Amino acid sequence: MTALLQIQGLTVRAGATPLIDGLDLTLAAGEILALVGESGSGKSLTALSILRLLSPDLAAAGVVRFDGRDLMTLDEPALCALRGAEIGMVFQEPMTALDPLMRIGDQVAETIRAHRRMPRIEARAAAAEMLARVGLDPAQVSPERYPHQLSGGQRQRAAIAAAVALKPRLILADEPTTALDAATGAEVASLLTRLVRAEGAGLLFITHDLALAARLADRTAVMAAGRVVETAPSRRLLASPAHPATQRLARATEVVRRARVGGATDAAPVLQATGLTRDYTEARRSPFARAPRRRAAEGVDLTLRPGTITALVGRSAAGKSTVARLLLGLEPPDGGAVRLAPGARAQAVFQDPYGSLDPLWTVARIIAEPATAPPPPGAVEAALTEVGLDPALAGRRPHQLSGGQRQRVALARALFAGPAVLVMDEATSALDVIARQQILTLVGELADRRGLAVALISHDLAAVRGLADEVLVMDQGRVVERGPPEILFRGPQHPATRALVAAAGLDGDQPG
Amino acid sequence: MIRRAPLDLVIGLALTGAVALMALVSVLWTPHDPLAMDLSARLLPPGPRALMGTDAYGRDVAAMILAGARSALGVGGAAAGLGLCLGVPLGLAAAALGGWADEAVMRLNDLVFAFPALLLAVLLSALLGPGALNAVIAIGVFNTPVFARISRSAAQGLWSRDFVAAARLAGKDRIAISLEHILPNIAGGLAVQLAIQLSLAIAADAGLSFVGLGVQPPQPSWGRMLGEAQTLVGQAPWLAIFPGAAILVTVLGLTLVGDGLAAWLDPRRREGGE
Repeated sequence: MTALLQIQGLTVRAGATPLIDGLDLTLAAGEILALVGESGSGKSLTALSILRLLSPDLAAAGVVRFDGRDLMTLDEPALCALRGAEIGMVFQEPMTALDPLMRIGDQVAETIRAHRRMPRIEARAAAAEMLARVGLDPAQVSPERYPHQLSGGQRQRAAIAAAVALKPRLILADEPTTALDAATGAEVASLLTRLVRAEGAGLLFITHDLALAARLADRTAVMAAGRVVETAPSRRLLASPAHPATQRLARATEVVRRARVGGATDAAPVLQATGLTRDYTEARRSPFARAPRRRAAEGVDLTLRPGTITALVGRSAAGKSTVARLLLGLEPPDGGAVRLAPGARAQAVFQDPYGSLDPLWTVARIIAEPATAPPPPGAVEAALTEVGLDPALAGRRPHQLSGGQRQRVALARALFAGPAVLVMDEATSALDVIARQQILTLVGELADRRGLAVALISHDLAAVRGLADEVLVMDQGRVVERGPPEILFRGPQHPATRALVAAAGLDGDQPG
Repeated sequence: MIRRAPLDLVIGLALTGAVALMALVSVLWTPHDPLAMDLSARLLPPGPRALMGTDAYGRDVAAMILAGARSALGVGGAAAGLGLCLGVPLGLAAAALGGWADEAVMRLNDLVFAFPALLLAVLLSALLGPGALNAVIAIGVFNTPVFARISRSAAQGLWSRDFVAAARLAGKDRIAISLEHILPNIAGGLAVQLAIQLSLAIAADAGLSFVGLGVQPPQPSWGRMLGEAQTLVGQAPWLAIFPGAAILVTVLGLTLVGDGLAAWLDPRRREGGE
């Protein structure tokens, strides 16, 4: 096979700091190559350099040869002709990659018309056909819809349709499944690889998940500190990683386990929720219509005991986060009640590492916020150490921290006032695999050591199986199945549980 | 970390700074007494005797421009400040309380917004009687809904953020959250709006003075200088040019400060993050 894409000695600098430092990479025509690395290793920058879409304050040098042409020497009109037509791109966050004011059919048609002279009607028809191919059947999901009327997975499918519409020979996909729940992500990833195989295109699949790379890609290249440190056939790389960076990534694919010493299931509950029901008012469809109400949670019973981890799993919009907010008292339930043991406090770590810390506050002030009196000297530093952070970070502000560091700070804040209940609402889903594993391990230890009652909301079924004492499966606002993870995942009864288990690849008999 | 300020912010600050300097200097020194009439030196064109000429009563225009800066900044600043001090708490309360309180504040805002502001300021000044204090009240009242609306919408966005949820879990009430989390985070946007409202307030004050409802004689005021120049503009154009230029420079400077500040504080240009 000849090389479709050949990168030689690519460097990208911000001022004097090299972000990519002499990167070499080759991708053959029709090959699926995974580019794997921790956050900040330069994966996304590599994709943007190929398309020459780097922000102007970054300087790139080196050779990026696509189909014999050096992209680094092409002028802007030539690059515009290339982008979309010969090289397609799928981004991590489909909501920001799509124009919120444009119908999805028009967005795909726009890509087609930007490169091919074609009457509008024909482009629309081609777009509708393309959307059908990515699983957005016009009979169910009309091309007339706007992005906000689609689910996350549907949006990513629409973005893929736009990227693939002109049959490009190379597709760059930058963490296209990271923002999606596990089941949807697995569907989207397999759709992307199926399309690429069908068209004989090359795919550069960027991810931080070595296990996902092993499932999807022919070869995997591992990046660390702006360089490719190891390249090998994907499965072999996962089985026998050579470079330390690869070994770290491989270890991160191992499932978090917990000693489960303190999980006394007969201890008195610290939090008891019965019949939790919550309705949300949605936007009126016309000025005179009654505003429709959507039931986000219905009749949810939940008991949290000291030293136990209770997991809530389910697809997006199944009502998990609503239950979390009701447990925390951030919203009043429309039915049912939450009873917290006298004197007990509930704290939480939320999903978005960027929204959960006040951008103007220092780390020390953030962590001490739940304290009722000024904390004794050294208390903040001790809290930082407990969550595995350097006490020297106390004076920093959130924008100086990585996503994983931010979530640890949020965890330190949650623990600071000595809560009895900790709610982790998808707290690790925005993190890379290594940070995710470390934080989940920490939460397991906290339950065991401090006797914390944890409500763990997660898409990560493998982690749930390793950590939880009890699992509640939610679907359309209800708890449809519950039980200890070993039993529940071995013999799922409800269709929702079965779909989750199948998507997570847990139905095999590999030991968790 | 220090980022380079945009050019419009630099120019705006220079112009505004010059006007503020004029106001300060005028307290200690003016080329002549701005109030002293000299009928023997009426309508002198700009020259060595009077840098910007003299008016129909022989008063020194340069001295009046300097002294006028004081009343322009004083009345404009007090009016914009009044709007800020009334509007921001209203907006914060509307966002924090939601529901009926929010509706009440916003409908009251709509009511004030619905009136042609300057016209009503004229009416108010006419009712309360002309004078600097009443001009401040009239202009300040019409600045209030602007600040209320801006702080409410910025605060609403923040109330849905997770760090506010964390503060609620930490046991803080709405007032503490509004003061510790919301207000500091909207301060940048408010500073931008303050600069713009200040320029509008100074222009409004000049308008009120022009029709005789602002600062009362003999205190010099740019607006009234323009008003008095009306009949003489053919004969003595400097009487209109200099106060007009003073108003223009002040309003332009503050508008540039507002625009430049907005660009400077734009979170998309913030350093760090990912």
